[in-house]
Amino acid sequence: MEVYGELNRELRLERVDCEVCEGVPRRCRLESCPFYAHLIDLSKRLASKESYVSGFTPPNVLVGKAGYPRVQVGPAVSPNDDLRSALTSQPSVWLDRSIDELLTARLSLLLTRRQMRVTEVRDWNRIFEAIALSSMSLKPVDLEVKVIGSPALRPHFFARSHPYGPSARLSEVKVVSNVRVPRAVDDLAHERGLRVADAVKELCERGYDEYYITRLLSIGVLGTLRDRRLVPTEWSITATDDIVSRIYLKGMRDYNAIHDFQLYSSSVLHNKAFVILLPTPWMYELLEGWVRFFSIYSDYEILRPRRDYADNTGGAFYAVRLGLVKSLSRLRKRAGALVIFEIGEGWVPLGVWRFRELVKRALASKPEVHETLDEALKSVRARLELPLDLYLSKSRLYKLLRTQRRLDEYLDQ
Amino acid sequence: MTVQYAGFFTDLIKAVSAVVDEGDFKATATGLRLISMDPAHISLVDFELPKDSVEEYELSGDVEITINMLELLKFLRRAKKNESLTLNYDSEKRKLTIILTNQAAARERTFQLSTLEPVEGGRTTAPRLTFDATARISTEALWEAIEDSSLVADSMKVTIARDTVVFTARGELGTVENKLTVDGAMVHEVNAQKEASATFALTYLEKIVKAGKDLSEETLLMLSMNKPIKIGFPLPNARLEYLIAPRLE
Repeated sequence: MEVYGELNRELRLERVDCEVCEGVPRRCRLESCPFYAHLIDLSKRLASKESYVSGFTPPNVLVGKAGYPRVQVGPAVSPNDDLRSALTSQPSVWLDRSIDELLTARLSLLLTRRQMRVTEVRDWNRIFEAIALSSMSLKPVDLEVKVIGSPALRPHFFARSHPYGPSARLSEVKVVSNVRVPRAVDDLAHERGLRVADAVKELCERGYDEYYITRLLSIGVLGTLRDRRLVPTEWSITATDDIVSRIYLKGMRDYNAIHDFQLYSSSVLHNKAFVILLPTPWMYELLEGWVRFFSIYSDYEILRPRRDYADNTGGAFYAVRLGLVKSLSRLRKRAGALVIFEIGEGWVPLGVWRFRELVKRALASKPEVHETLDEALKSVRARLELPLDLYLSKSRLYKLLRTQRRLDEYLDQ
Repeated sequence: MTVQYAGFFTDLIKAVSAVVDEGDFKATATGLRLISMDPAHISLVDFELPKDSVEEYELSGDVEITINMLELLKFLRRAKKNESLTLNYDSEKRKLTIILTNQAAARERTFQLSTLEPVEGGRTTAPRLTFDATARISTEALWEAIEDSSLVADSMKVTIARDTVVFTARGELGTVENKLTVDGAMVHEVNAQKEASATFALTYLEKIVKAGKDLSEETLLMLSMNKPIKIGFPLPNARLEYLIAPRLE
């Protein structure tokens, strides 16, 4: 599982371009942080409210990766009932919110944490039962948590998890509403003979989305007894993207090949996605451009899913791939894809979900159909902030496609 | 149509599926034939199983059979070593029946597969191309060259000269060269009026040669300067040839 670990690159990239601290942690002060300042009140209120907090979890259970295999785990709870719809655990609707709305909602979550050995999930104690049940629920779950000490509030933005509000040590947790766990999931949690990959496959076939599967994988309720362990949230997101997209890729063989270059695009929240479907066997490349840093990162794969970790684009590579193959399966199309994803200056790191969701949204729109790749790229050129040539200079697939001739040029038809 | 060794036929179908996912077979008085390009029109497969090379071949008229190769392979992979294979096609119902028979054990297994709507157009004759240089080399040596090259690059240059066959790959991190000389055991024959070379995507070479090496120890390469390459796997009772379009820098 180490392959899904965080990379330095992401720390460098997905940081907040804050006007106050300019991204230098030393200068960062909570009181002056424009993103966190308004939370100080909330944090104080929480601290004075004795140590019991009642609220709901969207559901959202976070497993940290620091100190692995002794990690921090706990549900994120919002005491503010008005935020129930804003905090939905369905990222597909987040694309239509403003960055401010998203941030406010995320930062209002109280993050509880309790240290656990990752293998402790096999013992299924009382506290873990409440944590696991809330993670397995499809709907928000009402919880009563007892925290020790006053909540700590530290600004932090990470590549693959959403930012969170105050955090506090968890000593007790009680589920106070009815939890609805789908029958099939309950069965899988009790089935100790099925491997994780097979369990994930079954969940996919039953139509559960990647966000739900990620939660189940992270909390360690799937797989054989030996497989069961807590998986840090960041790793489980990429692991789920990878496992699920491989399942869809296998199914893609049955669909119809395309015969032209189809350009799909969508842009929202300072992120722009351009997906060019190629009339080729499976080949996929992500060109990720950061306007703020004037730099492009790329990773690709040809014919089959790559075996080594996509070092340059990290979790984004797998998130985009999942968005792609799910959409292709819906469209019943078989194609390769060149994806240009541009992240504008106004973006604040809120997680990799937007890669997945924006690509899905792009592929739900009507495509522009082009005869050649160059024509399709010409249409993209005007809509990018960074120069197209900069993207193409980093692209392996472009080089491959540009130099590859077709047999028709040589044959007597 | 009956084939004595089901495994041989399975290998042939696997080799065809290196290029096409949907096989458009034509059964005529002379035998079973398929000439088809991949969707990207970069590679082509020319397959023929003449009627004389199978045990039994009966036909009431020319038919076109379009099959999902992966579905067909699923069934064919069930074949055991000592089984023979019989294919019956009902053109009205568009059903292909696959019968695997083990004579010794008197066991017969029958599978039925729905076929697809025939594709309009498609080639019926092999493309005519002329080549400046040909070489007959060991398939294993070619496969090794492909595997070596894939360590550094995604394409490989093939050069056939008067007495050598050279495979080179150049990547950002390094280069790989495989040189086979005519007097060695790896090269059976070279016929080059002039030196010819061209570069090809490893993805296509890999898929094709991987399938071919299960069938033939020998590979025939035919090449002209920066033009498509023809890769043939000489088989005693079937034709299996491919074309791949080059990459030009």
